[in-house]
Amino acid sequence: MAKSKASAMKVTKFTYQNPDSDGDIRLEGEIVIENTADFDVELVKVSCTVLNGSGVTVGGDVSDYENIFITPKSTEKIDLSLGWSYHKDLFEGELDKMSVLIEATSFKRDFVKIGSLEMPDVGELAMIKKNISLGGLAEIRGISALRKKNDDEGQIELEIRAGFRNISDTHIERAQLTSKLIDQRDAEIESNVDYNPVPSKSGYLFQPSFYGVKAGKAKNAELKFSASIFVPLDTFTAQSTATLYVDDY
Amino acid sequence: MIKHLRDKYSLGCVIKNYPKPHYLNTYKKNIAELTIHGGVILNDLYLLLKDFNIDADFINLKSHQIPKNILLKDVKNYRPEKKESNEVFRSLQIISLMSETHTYTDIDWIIRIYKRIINIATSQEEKSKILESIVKLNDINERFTERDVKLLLELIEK
Repeated sequence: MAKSKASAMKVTKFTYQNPDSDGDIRLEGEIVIENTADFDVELVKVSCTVLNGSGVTVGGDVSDYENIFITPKSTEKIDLSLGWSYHKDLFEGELDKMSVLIEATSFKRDFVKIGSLEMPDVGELAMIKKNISLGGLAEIRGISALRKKNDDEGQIELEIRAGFRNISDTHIERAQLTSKLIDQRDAEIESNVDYNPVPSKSGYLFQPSFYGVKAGKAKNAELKFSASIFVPLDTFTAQSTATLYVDDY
Repeated sequence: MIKHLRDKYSLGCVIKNYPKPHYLNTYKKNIAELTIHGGVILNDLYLLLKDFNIDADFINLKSHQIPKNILLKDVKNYRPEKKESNEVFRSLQIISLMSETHTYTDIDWIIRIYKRIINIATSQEEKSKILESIVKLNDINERFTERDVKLLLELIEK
């Protein structure tokens, strides 16, 4: 993990609303994070632990924020997911004593276009016969696509396999394979995103699949593949006590 | 079920745990059940899958991540919150979220943000909004001093 100086995260909102008729309480929060690293941040994983006034866990959530993009040295806001089902009784009558512990990890992304395959005929095996390196940390040992006979509804049956290996000492929080089925007019028929964490010196088998594609539609189609890995850059921690949010409307 | 969710509700399930189950097996010997209809909240679906030892994320057909508090019937029309695309204005919004801070560390952080956006601001509108924000922050936060203001104003004028 890259060591950066004075990484910063701040809780800019942690509020509760008064209980509704069922006694349930809605929590909302947001944080801001500064990217002090020299790389773009393209994924942030945030875990929240909600504590009552006695400092005991009453809820929480873990979320991946993947639509985020923080350029080096800039700051971005993230709306927190704090979980659901907070009944007022969890807080022993002291709602204003609840607090949240937040841990966040930012990740950089290494992306590679793997290549494409022509849609194989029924009974044929198509292959990308090369090793694809991802930032020197991981590799994909080629991709195979076996076309089996169409199902009873005339839809294609494709078995795609891509073996991903983490050859580094770094934990890869997310190894991701994106597969697209493109028709002969260059329009996208289907796409598939699959991801999984891959610890150091271990592997994962991607098996993307396309559902409900008629054989006619897949004629002369092309399979396009790209891959990404998300590697940790920085970690952040913060804590905040809740304040009452009053909806003026 | 995954095919049904995709075909009927445009909901993609990214199954995260390994080994990936090919069918719903009752790993925990649970008999959890849920009737799938448009009024089901994604979090209930998430918890149902958890009962079957399946850890899933939800995406729409455009690969946008879907928050778990969305109803199934709303997945198709879900659009992620549109962010302010202008980096200067977006950063000014962030400064305003931090404006009531009581720590000098945060004030240093805010100054870093100001310095950065002063550097990238090109239009007159951007520069005047930055100026407006500096004056406002100076009014409401005593830790953001006249000296800080002067330093930033000099940068703007350069």
